[in-house]
Amino acid sequence: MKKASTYSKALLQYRIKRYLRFALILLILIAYLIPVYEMFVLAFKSRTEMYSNYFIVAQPTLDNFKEAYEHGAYSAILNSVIVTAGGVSISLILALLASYAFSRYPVKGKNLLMFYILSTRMMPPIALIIPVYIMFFNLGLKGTYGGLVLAYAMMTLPLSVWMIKSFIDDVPVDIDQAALLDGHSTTYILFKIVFPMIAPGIAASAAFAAITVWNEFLFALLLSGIETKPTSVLLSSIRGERGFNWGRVAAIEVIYILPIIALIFWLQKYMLRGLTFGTVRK
Amino acid sequence: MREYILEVRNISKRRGGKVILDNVSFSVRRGEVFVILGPPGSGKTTLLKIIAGLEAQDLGDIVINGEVVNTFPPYMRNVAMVFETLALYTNMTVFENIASPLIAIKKDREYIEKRVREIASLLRIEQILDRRADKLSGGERQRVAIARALAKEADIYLLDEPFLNLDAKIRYALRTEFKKLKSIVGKTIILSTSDPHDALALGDRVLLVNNGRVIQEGVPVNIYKAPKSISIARYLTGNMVNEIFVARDSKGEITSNIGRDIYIDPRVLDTIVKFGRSSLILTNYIDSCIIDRHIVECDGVKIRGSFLGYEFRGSEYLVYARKEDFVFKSLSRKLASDLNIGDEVDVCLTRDGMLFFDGETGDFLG
Repeated sequence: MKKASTYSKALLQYRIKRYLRFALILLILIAYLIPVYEMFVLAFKSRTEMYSNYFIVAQPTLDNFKEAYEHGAYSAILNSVIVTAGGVSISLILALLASYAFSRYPVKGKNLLMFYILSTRMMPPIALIIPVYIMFFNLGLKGTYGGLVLAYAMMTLPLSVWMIKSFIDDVPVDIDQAALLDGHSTTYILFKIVFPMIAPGIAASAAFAAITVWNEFLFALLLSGIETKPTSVLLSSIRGERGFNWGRVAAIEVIYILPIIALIFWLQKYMLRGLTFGTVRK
Repeated sequence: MREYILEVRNISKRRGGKVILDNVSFSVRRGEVFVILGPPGSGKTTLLKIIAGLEAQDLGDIVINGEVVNTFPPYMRNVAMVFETLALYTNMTVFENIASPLIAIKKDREYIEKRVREIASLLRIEQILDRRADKLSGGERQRVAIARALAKEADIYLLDEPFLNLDAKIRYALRTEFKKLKSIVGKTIILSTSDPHDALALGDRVLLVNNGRVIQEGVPVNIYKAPKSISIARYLTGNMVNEIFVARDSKGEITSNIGRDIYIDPRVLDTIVKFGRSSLILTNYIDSCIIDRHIVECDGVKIRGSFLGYEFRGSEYLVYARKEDFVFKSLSRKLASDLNIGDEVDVCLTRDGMLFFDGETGDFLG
């Protein structure tokens, strides 16, 4: 009898702990999602409804999206897509080649070089912005897509090299040697064997680099021009005749975050596989 | 045609200051199965990779078909290799894996299709040709790796630990198939293994290596019957040997490490005296040791001990007996049914399977 009561007490304790844990997770989730929800609500609210009906939309409207279009939000999104795609592509190509060399060849001072590459990420970007600005200005790259793409490729390269190298390290060197013995060229080995094998890792690196570039503000603010202004810069500069038009800002934000959410959902499987790649011995 | 298809001449290799291979030399005859046997870390894989041209030696020459190939890239040496890790291209199908060496030499599609199906049927993997290489079982992976090597019509096939990490059943099946395959393919095979059973069962000749050095070379029977040292005898049998240490005192009397209470046949005594060493190790493989309640005739060394138990091994029994701290093992087809643990038994180390080693150096005497 005593045994049974001890058992049910333990079960009760276990259940309470489980519910408390669940409640805590729910609380954190709500805290994170409220601003996102509010942003979506604001984007569909009319001006008259803006400061009433908190959390709900009585009469949804697309006016804010029309206004966003008129204020160049869509071309800013396109600019963001161009510089993100360009920066990430260049960074990935360079990172793939550099990582393979670091992983497979006896590069002298390899560890020091790898640390040096990473150390460039440790420096606060603001410390670099003035020399980078002067350099880009003198090279005629300021205000151009090329300039932004170059800056972002440079910015995301170190982390991509580190991530991709760790994925290549997990591919046994025997794979390369087997292909070499089969008679394949190094190019074939890289592009047909090794890189496809680490596709999840490449996808994960690409996603992280894309998020970094998409969200970047400081370099975009100083290096972009009127025609090349990405969304992060546009958002900071939106101001209506009578202060901020929150509805318009929210509409641009909705358009701004949708592509990156879509990208993350699309690459979610690879990102998770990429993050856990190599953690289990095969 | 030259007798030797491969000559390895004085190969030395260091890595990070550590000696991996030290002046290794041997020759491989055309069409034979040559086994490189040694414990893990003895330099077997490095040796195979040097032969394949995947690693460079510091000193020495690799000669294939009479030509020094030191400067030849791997694909020009016409060797194929099955790696210890198998090195399958997991992003490709089984078909693409097997076809890989043929694609590399730009064979036409029809030939590739025919050759891949031919090899797949030989290794009984036709039904998995469309499966991705990362979706295979251990045995299937092994077969695909062998198939990829066979697809290349090479002069020499290098197999690095081909039966490693396989469960006993698949291992046995593959070993049997290997013999069949060898007779069909009829090419020179160099196989590395750390398992003496594989080496003795599959090799036409065996090269024993340890710490990057050649320890012994010969046909399996000779290595088994005349191992160069006691440590080789222990390694070959997985320590399944019976050993007695005997010494001659100043008066010429013979004493053993298990006391005086043993019978040594006069012919064995004569042999001990003939070798003229102050001490010897008498070794006896477990298949030439007899353990029974009473043994009337023993032509080697007889010891009275106690029954310790047995292991049933299907067709045989591994019987244990002890004398003080020493345990003796015997492989026997029959077991006296009335034996209980602790019962007194006789242990006979027969003269026929007895090997003599120097007590101080461990060197083989006869």
